[in-house]
Order: sequence, then C-alpha cells, then structure tokens
Amino acid sequence: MIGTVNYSDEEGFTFISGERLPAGMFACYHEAGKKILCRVKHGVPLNQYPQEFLLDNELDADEISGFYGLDPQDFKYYTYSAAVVGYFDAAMGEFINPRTNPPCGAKIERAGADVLKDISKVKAGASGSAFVGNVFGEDTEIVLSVRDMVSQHVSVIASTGAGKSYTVGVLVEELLKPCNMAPVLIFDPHGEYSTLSEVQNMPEFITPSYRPKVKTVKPETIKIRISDLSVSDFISIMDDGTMSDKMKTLFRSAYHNLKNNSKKKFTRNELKQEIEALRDSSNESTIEGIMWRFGKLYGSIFDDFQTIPLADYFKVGQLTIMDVSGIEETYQQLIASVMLRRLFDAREGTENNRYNESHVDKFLPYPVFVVIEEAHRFAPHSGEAKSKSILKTILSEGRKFGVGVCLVSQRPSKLDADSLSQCMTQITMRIINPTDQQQIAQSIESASRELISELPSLAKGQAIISGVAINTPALVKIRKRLTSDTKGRSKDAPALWQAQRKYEEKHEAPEVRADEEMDVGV
Amino acid sequence: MVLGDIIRVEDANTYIVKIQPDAQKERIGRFIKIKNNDGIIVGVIKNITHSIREDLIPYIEPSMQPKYAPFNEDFRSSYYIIHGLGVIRNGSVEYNIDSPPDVKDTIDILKNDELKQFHIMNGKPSVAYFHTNRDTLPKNVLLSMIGQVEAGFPECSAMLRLVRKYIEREA
Repeated sequence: MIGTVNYSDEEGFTFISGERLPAGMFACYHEAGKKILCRVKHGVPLNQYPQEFLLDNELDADEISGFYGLDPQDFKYYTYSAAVVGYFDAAMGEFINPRTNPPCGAKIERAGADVLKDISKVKAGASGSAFVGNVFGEDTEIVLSVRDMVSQHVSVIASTGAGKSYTVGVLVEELLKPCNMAPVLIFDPHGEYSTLSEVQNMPEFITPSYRPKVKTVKPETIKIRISDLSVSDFISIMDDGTMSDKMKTLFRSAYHNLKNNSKKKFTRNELKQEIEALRDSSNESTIEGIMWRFGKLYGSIFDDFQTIPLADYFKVGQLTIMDVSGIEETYQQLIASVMLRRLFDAREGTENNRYNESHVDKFLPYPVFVVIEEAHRFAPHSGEAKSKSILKTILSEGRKFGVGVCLVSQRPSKLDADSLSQCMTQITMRIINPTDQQQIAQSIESASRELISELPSLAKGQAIISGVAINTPALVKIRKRLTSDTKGRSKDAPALWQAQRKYEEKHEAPEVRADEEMDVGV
Repeated sequence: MVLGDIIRVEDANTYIVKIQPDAQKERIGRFIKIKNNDGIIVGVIKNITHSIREDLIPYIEPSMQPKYAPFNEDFRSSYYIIHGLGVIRNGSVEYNIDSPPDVKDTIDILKNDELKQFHIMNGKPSVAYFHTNRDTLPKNVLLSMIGQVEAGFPECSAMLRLVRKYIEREA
C-alpha cells in the first residue's frame, strides 16, 4: 500500500501517502475484483513547516518543529492528485475507464508488473513489436505496436541533446529486427545515422534466414530526374523572385505541351525545345529570360535519366539512409518532395492495381516507413517548403496505402500543426521552450496533456510515449541502443582543443632564430 | 515567595488567584508554579483582573457586600488568571494537566532550575506546550514566555528566535 484516497472530483482523485512518488507514476486500486490503473499527476506536502522554521540554514526544520511541539512526521506526508486510467479489458484490448473515482478510504498501491504489462499493446519479441524501453522507475517493458506506428505515423519531438536521434535509432533497430523486417528510409540532413549500419553484423538482428541490410546513399549520388519534377517544382527552382507571370505562363504551357504529348519521361533538351517552340516576335525577351533561368536545372543534382530508385531504396529488411548533408536546404526539400511523391504514387498505384511487377520502380507491394529528420524544414508551420504538400498528403492519406512517416523535430512550434497532429503516436522528450510545449499540448491526446508539465524536467533518454501504438500514455526510460551512438553526441570541445594543440606541438617545425636565418643562403 | 492563593479552579488549566496584599505584583506572562502533593504544576500568568461589580452593589445588603462583592471593599487586591501548562512529577515533565490544583493552593514564581527542568523533555530542550496552547494564550503572553525561556536557556536562543518570529506572525 502506498496511500489512501481522501477526496475525488471531476478532475480525478487525491490520496495521501507517506512515500515520495514521481509524477507520471502508475498506481492502482481494487474495485469489484479488478485492478484499476491510475496515474499520479503531482504531489504536494500535506502539511508545510512554518516558514520561519526554515529561515536558519544551520538548524534542521524537523528539530525546531519537535522543539515547538509539532510532530516532524506530520511533514512527511503528501497529497497526490491522480487520474483513473481504467481496467484492462482483454477482449477489447484496451483500458476501460470505469467512469468512477475510487471511494474515499480506498487503498492505493503500486501498479505491479501484472498491471503495467497491459500498457503495451504487444509482447516484446512478438511479430510487429518494438521494445523501446521501460516504464520509468519500473522493470516493465514498453513495447509499441509497429502496425499502428506504421499505419498512423509517429512523431519524435525533443530539444537538442535530449536523445531524439538516439530514440529514432532505437525505433529503427526495432523495425529491422527479425520480428519486423521493415523497409525503412531515413532522410538524414545531418548524416548522423551511419552507425545503424552495425545492425548488419549484430547477432540480435540475424537469424538463419534473415540479415538486415543497410544502404547509405551519399549526397553526391542522389539525383533528381528532370521528368519527376512538377511544374511548380520547376518554377520554384528557376524563380529567384524575378520571374514574371508571363514567363511562368509560357513555361507552364511548354511543360504541359510536353506532358500532353504522352511524354511521361523527358529530358532537359526536350523541355528546352518545347519552350523554344513557343517563341514568336511578341515573346522573344520572355523566352530568353526563361532560357537564362533554365540554366539552374543543369546543377549536379538534376539528371535526365537517373532518379531516386524506389525499389532499390525500399526493400524488406533494409534500412536506406539518404544522407543529404551538405545539400542546400531548398534542394533537400526538393529531394524529399520528389522521393515522397514517387513513393506515394507507387504505393497508391500498387494498392489500386495500377502498377504491377512490370512497372519497374513503381511496383511496391508492401508498406514502408520513412523517417524525416528535422521535419520542421520539410513541413514548416509558416512559410512554404516544396515538400510540405506531399508530406501532408501522406500523413493524411498514407494510412490507406501503407506509407508510415516518423516526423523528428526539435522545434515543434515551427512544424506544421496539421502534420504534427496526424502523427498518432507521439514520443515526446525534454522540451524547455514554452511555445514548443504549447504546440505539443495541442497536438496530442488529452490524457497525456497532464504530462506536458513534466517535459522540461525529463532527463536525457526519458520520454512520454502516447498515442495509438500504446494502450495508455506512459513515462518511459528509452532502452539502450544496440548500435553505437557516436554521431549524434555533442562534441567535447575542450578535449578536442587539447588534442589539436598536442597535434600541433608534435608537428610544429622548430623555431628558427634570427641569426640562424641570416646564415641561410648568405 | 508566595504570590497568592487560588480562590477558584475554572477548569484543569484555568485558576483564579487572589494576589496577596503584601506580595509584589508580577507581570503577565510570568512562569509560576503551584506545589501540591502530586508534584509541581507549572503555569503562566495569563492575565490580571481587578474589577468592581458596581451594577450589583445597590442590590446587595451592605453587610453582605464583603461576601458577594469583595472587589468593592478590597481595592488593593488584584487577581491573577493562571493558565496551567504542565506538571513536573517525580522528575519527569508532562505538558498536560490531569489533576488540577485545589482552592487555597499557593502560587510561587518558578525558579530558574525548575524552568530549565520544565523545558527538557526526553533529554531534549522543548517548548512543545507552545503549540497546544497557542490558541489559548494571547500573543503578548507567549512572547513574554519566550523571553524567559531564552534567558534561562541561552543554548536554545537560535530556535527560540525562529519560534518568536512564528508566533509574532501567527498568534
């Protein structure tokens, strides 16, 4: 027993306990033969020391209290507010709220492993399971449902240094385990996920019939096929703010003429010819202006034939890391936009029987999972990004076609609110910025809003996991990563400076005295 | 030195004491003791009264006035209202009174060694009766008591300073 209920209202109930219990902790009580799970929200001391007794740093408050005739033990009790989660209904597979609070006088006890195990939807190691950590302060494992994560998307939100990339690493490890064998792609603007390639040789991931593959795509090998670009993509590439409406109209005409001629795949020269075909005496200078801007499409990232090879990137049991570090942000958005657009088309077309095995690079007969790092760059709250529209489409419709997205960001307030709210599983770690906290509060389910106040105080590696992949929101200690975690860590600047200085000292040429210098060549 | 005799016991903690004419009048808040067979009852002067029930005088026979209106004739006498705090019994201290004094028991000033003894509970300095009597005793009485304990117990002055602050705010 840890306490006794003393009050209840529409907000929940309170109980008194002599133990110090952390906010977010799970407790339970018995009612009608069932164990009802509840969550401790916060606690306040039942009695407070007279403030004057705390004024002397040398004197112990308990000693003065006893001297004055107060029982120091009276200050060791706390009133905790708590909310009922419910009892687990095995048939329904979820917690059912009994719609009543515990009666006054009811005994509250710690929720044991027999109750906490029901927080997870699936068992660790089972098909479609992702063991991500333990209930904070307990041994009970938290296992997410991969099925729900992939079909209804995930968000991983944390301020820098809180363990965001680490957690994504854990998720990806789980997706690549033999119990899942997921096709996963990480869109990696910082090139920080390369250590995940270790999974290929780790026994935890290998069975006699399965070994995950990791494909790292370097920035210089990423190509966008010209014919994969939409007309708005072309205009956004060419327009530096000086492109007139007339130019845009003419370009659109050329593009659509080419497309209407059943030219699904075309080259830059073919497009240029189509633009030239529109030239007449009235638009000489406009055509010249378009042609001059067309030069931007000869950047190294564009190609007439090479494209993002979807079938090669999305294979069962394969992680593809698209390292876009060093690529200009607008081009990163463009790459994301083209890749996601093609992916959505492939999945939608395959599901709707438009594509079959004969459609190379378009036939994708299984669900896929895409991790978008720095998601606020690709679906910003304010302003436009080339990738925003397709990302929103996938987030709202991807469920039907099996395209799961994991949005990862350190600035949720800068992330499009609609996109964030479509992520039905939320892994939220330490967030200090109040605006970011507010944004999170608006986008997550009400039950976990109570935990929002905990966000600034979460330690590294602690997360609040809520949403459809788990039966009730829980404070979780993220498990240790199996692969190494070196890339995402903060640099130890002083140690690096000292190492550099040692290196310089070792390689420094001995100083030449002025008189010695005079001797040389004289 | 005897300060007076108890003339009325109102309850286990409240006694009226008639001050002896020749006794020096003590201040409110002064610790006193009442010796009886059971031990020493330690108390404090909660108040001093001296009133003439003028409203009753016309209705009382002159010969009966000394009996029913003693204040009317005895102008020099005052009455202490004593509040009992606890008992020193067989060398141990209790901060409650389960056996009140009798009428005609005398009251004296509490000596320094008795004051010290009264403020040691289970081997530790204590003013634990403050908490139980905080609502009964006025602030000035409590503050005066702190002053006397402080004088007799300088080693507790740091704690008493905080208790004084608390009483100044709360009482």
